[in-house]
Amino acid sequence: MTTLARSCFVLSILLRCAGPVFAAGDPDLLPPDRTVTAWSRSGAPKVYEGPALYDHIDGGGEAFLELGFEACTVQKYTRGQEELTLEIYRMADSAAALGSYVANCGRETPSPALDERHTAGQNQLIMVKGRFYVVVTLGPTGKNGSPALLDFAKYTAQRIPSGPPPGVLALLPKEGLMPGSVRIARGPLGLSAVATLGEGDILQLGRKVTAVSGDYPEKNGGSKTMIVADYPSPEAAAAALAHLRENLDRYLKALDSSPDSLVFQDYKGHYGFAGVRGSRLVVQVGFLDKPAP
Amino acid sequence: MKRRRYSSIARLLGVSRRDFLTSVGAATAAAAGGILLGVPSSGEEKPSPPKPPTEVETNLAEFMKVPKGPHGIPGPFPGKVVQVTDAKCLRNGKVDAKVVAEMVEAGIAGLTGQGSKKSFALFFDKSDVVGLKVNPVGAPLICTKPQLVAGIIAWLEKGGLLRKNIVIWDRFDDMLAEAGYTRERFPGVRIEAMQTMAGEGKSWKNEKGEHLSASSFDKEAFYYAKGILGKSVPGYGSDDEYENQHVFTGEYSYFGKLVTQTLTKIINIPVFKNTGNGISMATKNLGYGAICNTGRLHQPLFFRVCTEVLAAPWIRDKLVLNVTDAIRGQYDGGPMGNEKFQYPYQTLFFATDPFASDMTCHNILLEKRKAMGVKVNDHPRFTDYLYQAEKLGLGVADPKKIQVWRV
Repeated sequence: MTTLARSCFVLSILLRCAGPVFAAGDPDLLPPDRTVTAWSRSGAPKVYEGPALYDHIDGGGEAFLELGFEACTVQKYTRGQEELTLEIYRMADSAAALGSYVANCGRETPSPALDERHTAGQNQLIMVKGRFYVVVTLGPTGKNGSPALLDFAKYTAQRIPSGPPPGVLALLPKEGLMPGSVRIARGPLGLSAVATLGEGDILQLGRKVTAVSGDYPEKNGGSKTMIVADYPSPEAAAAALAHLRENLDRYLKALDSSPDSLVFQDYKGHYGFAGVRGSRLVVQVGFLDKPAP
Repeated sequence: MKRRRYSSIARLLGVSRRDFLTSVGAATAAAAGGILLGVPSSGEEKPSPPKPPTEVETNLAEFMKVPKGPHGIPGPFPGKVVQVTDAKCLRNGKVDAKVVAEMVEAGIAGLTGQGSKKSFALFFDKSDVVGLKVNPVGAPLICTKPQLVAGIIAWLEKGGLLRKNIVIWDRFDDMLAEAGYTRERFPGVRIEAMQTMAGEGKSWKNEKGEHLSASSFDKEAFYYAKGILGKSVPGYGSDDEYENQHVFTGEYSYFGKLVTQTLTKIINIPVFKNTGNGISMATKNLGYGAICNTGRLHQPLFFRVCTEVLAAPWIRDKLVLNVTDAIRGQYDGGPMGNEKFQYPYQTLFFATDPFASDMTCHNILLEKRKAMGVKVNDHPRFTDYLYQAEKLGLGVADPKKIQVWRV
């Protein structure tokens, strides 16, 4: 690598770490021609910035944008008749990247050949590192896809700077937390994956406040869900609870209400609780027995 | 049979467009009433809602004023869903086109109780222009399989329809190509997208600054949703960005001219997959596939669109058959393709009633999600739109009234 090339590479890494200033996608995370076992680029990379993401994923872009999305760089590769697509999503922060990953990874089946958090199948690999969410997909004519998927993921992962896990994970009690149940939300779309509490942005997350949820065992062998949203101030958390109380979903019935808590029952007869704890709002759903207010 | 071509609802009703729009608000409120409130028809497990959700004014009531045509949904077999399963259709990840074609014949015979030619005559005559609405979103991992479409075309040809009268269609040209719908693969069959988007070396604007696809949409045929604009879409940047994909901004989502002026019948061929806690199958494939300017609708009216757009005469009276491709299913991560959640289901679903089909598939997918340990939010709101359709007389949603025939 020449001195100039090395300088450009270092600069690009610094810019990426600094925040959303890199406006032309992330082409330096893409393997050049024949770097990964004889795969060649097919056409130029496509970059989708901000709401242009809808042009790439029709009907699925909202989830990324709600969490905090900056740019998606897409490059197709070919090797003989085989096709492979590498998608690199640069999210606003590591919580947004992890939120995208946990929503899509399912029961993880990682390969020991890759250190970063990922799940690998025969035709698709999904990975998260720092504020990048990466998807590698083999086309319909691909054969024995796993090695190629891993090679592409490794190349990209090596060029993404490491960072600490998102702090939002510490909001959930570790004891009893069921594996694979953590979800991250910053708006109604993300929240709807775990609970329906009301119309619109019922917890007033506004794509800025981060909520994290996880499941815990309930006595019947099922599970209950805890959602913790961390607001900028106790007043904001109290306002979110007030909004929830006033706009509670039409299939939920309020049972007990006080200035800093709410107990309700859902359409299945299960109970829920919402309460303010300093600048946090804690919501729990799926109780078999009515919780104390 | 005489071919019927639809003009605007305003024209059909003999009123000017301005009068029509003025009447929308009152008509919607008066005619739809409780229908629009999403109240379920069978209330056993659903308590009466304490208060209605905030309603958005649409032109549903105007659609419902137009008398239903002879082929109007739910068609001749309301509440009937035929499920054909053959493990041989997908082996080692490869689709067997011959087996799929046999499943098509078996499914249609099971649905109609008639042989191939009589079944054809039940839905079509030889002069029809038949649109095959595929779902290419999520290719290559999940999309309507070209082998299934080929099987349906073979059945149509057997009935006497010429290939030039068959149109494989979707909204976007690049997605159709990516999913394998090319002229080379389907010679003699028309492959038409309603829209193009900006890509390498191409712009979506013409020299006048208008969208290249603007002329593909019928300004006289629209789904209206008052106050619902592209500006409300999360991450909205500018009209230019929005129009690339959605062609128009504003309160109107126009139907494609292909649907309103060219096609005389529609076969809907969705994919068996989820979208969030709901499904993206028969009703969503057309609800969001026949109109433009859909981005604005996703958050405020997501599933409601799946009923209300299908209530529009241009869809309601032309949609004669729904064949849901469940050769491979996807129980989470949709509507995009996600291999992690896919499984070989080796099944096709046949129905004239898209709502019965969707309710059946929704419940099957829900059970699959539970079995696979996926977080399930089975709130009634994710099927309210199907019950709404039942109240409108467009289909059957109550599972107790739906008959599932397994072949």
